[in-house]
Amino acid sequence: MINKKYNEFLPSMQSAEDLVSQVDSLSGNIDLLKSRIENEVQQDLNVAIAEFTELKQQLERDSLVLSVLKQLQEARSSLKMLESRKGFELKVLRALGTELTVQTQNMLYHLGEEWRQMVLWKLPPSKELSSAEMVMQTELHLCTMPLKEDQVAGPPVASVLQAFAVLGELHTRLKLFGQLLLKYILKPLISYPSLRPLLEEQPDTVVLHFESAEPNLEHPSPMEVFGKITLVLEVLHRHLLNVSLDECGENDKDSKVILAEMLGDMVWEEVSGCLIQECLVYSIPANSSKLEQYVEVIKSTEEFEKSLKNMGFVKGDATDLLKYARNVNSHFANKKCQDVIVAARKLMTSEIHNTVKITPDSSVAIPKLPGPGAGDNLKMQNASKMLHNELINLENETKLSQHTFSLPTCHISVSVEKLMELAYQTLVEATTSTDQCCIQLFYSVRNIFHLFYDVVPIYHKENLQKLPQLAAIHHNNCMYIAHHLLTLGHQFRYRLTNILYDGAATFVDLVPGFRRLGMECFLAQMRVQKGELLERLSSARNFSNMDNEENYSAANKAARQVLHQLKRLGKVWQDVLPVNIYCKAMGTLLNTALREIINRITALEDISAEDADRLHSLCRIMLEEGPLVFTPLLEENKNKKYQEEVPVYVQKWMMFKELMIILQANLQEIVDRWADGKGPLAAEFSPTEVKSLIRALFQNTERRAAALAKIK
Amino acid sequence: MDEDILTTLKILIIGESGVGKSSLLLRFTDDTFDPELAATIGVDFKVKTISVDGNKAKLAIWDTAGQERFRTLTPSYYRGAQGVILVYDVTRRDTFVKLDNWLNELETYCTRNDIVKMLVGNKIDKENRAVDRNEGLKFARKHSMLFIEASAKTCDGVQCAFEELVEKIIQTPGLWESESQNRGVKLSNQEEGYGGRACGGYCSML
Repeated sequence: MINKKYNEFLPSMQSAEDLVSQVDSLSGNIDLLKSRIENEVQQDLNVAIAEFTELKQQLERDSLVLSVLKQLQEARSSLKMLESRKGFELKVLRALGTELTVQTQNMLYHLGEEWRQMVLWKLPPSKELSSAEMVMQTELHLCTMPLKEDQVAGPPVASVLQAFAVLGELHTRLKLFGQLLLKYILKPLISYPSLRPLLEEQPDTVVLHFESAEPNLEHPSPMEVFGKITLVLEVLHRHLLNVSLDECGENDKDSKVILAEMLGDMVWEEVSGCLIQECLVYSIPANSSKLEQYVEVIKSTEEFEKSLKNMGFVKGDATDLLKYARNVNSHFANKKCQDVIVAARKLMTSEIHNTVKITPDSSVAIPKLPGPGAGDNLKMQNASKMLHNELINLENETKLSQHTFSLPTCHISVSVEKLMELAYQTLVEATTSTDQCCIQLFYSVRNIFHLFYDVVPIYHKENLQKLPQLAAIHHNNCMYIAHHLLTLGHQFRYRLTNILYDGAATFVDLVPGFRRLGMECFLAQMRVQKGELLERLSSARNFSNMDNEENYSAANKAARQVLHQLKRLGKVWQDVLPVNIYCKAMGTLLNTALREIINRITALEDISAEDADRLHSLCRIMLEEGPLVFTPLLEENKNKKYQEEVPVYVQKWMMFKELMIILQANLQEIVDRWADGKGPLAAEFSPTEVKSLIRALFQNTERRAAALAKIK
Repeated sequence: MDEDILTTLKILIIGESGVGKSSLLLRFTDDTFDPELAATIGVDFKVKTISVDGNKAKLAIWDTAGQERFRTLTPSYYRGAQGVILVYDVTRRDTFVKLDNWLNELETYCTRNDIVKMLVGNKIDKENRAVDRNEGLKFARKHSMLFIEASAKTCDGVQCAFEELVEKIIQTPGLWESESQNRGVKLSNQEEGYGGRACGGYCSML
């Protein structure tokens, strides 16, 4: 039973035991779950709570801001309303505005003070920078800031600049700085080759000042100047403009970029212009042989611009200098042409009366031109020379003088001789130049002559009118130039560039103009002299009533004055004018005087015997002394020839002689010289004139009537 | 005084410098001789009345300068000349050679074609003769000229030269008459003149 009971019991117990173990595991699970809930959920809850609190706070803040903004908006709208009601101001607002201004100004003042301490200028007392010595007094002290952010020693440059930027003052400040930099440092450095920038590093400042070196050249080499300017800008860059990047992050970086670029924008245009004007222009070589060495300048210019770009002074696309330097060929031509024209103008405006004697043997020092083709042409030339020698025997025995086509001996201005040399030299230069340059040089030479044509008659106008000698020299000058212009083009024809080859390279077209120029000037002078001669003769009282002492002395004086004037002219033109022109000119003037005398005497209606004697003696003075004014040459004994030739140069000479004969002749002699219209009297005078003279000279007799009848 | 004069004739004396043109004239008009006579400047002029075959003619004689430098003056002297005396120096060949130039100049400037030309070889008194008489004669014949050799110094042939020339001019109708008569007749006269000249030119001398 027990057993039975036991047996009965055992399974129930076993199930009970199973149940217990199940309960145990269940409770374990429950515990685990409980602890997990406690651990995890609790934590999340906390976070959520914290989050919630934060959000709540934010909400509060935002709603606060919002309310403030709302209030502000309300205030603003009410302010606007207030403002719209004119005449009504809030004192507070004004006070606030004033305060703002005061504070801003205060701020600016302090900043300005700081700036002044950081960037200290010592300028020369005088405003005019006339010499290197004056500029020497310039100093620029820059406060060196430690590159790290030690903010002990006052605000760093960057902050000050930043503050300026915020206040909108930066541009003005920088501009002022830029102007000073330009005027006192950069420009002097470019202009005065003797100046060198000197850098003195002191504990907390950098001093930039100048030292004077030996002034070696008039104009410094571009490399030197580039070096100096780079040095100065580097200093500025290092100590002023290059504010360190890691200090204030993005904002500063922006301002830095702006700074260097801003300064660059302000000064670069002027600096580059100045560099070109004062430095690069002079570095352009004066003759083509040095043109090749210019590559170095181009290279250094490139480097200079590159370094400036690295510092941020110059924007990437600005290459003014390099462009200029690379364009050296055209600048060279321009410069050369300008030099040529300037030199020519200087010559043209120099004194005319400094003369040099030109003889057919003297010629412009024409530089030896290279043969059109070098080398093997020599043989050909020799061959042709031999041929030439053989040909000589076939030539006509009577040869032209070697001077046949030469300009006759005369005096021209030294300046004009030099002008011609300049023209030749420039053309020679053109032969060795590039096409473009060659054309430019060729036209420069043409321009020289155009310039002469326009400038000289105007510039020397007064003297050319006043002084017969200058008029003569100018005449010769023009003829001399015209003479050279005839062949100038041909001499260079095959040596100039092909573009000019085809007949374009000529000067012949200028020849008539120059001849006219010289002729007109001289003819104007001749007219002046002619006017004077006639003026003097007009005081001779028509040569009438010579028996009156007063009349006779007036006429005598007039004749003497005429001779004196001619003599003086003969002297100032002596050796100056070519002999043929001299004789022609003097002959024309003497002719004018003689013709006037002839006209006056033939117009007389009554000539007494005494009148006739006195007129004859007056005429004899002219006849004897007139030829003596012909002194074309310095050697007195050589002038006799020209004095004998006076009848050739003085058209009315024979007529004058005939008139003199009539004044002293009897009727028969007059009739003989008339010789039925075949004598010299008839060659010079018309029957009417002779008859009128006979009537004036002789009383009305039968003999006179008979003589008059023969004059027909 | 001049009433019986037939005509006035314009005579020109040309030739190289120094051949004795002025001396010939002086010998003819004044019957003088100056061995040191200066060179003529420009032109000289003399009048002389001469009687040829009973005809009186007044000669207006123009003595030109031989020097090259006065040559520009000469063209006007040729105008209206009826006779020309072309002189060379028998002792200077160059003066003979240059005769061609003078003939050329004469041709160029004289205003009439029937001008009578007389070639005179001067200075035959000198011993160093360079131009033979026949040469002169040949040249004269070639160019239809009268020819004579003369010496102003010794008076040889001077008078004769002028007389021959005047005679020839007077024998050439139209040459001297035309001027005093009306111009209408001139044409026929001239034609005759041409005809006469064709054989007359030097035939009379030979």
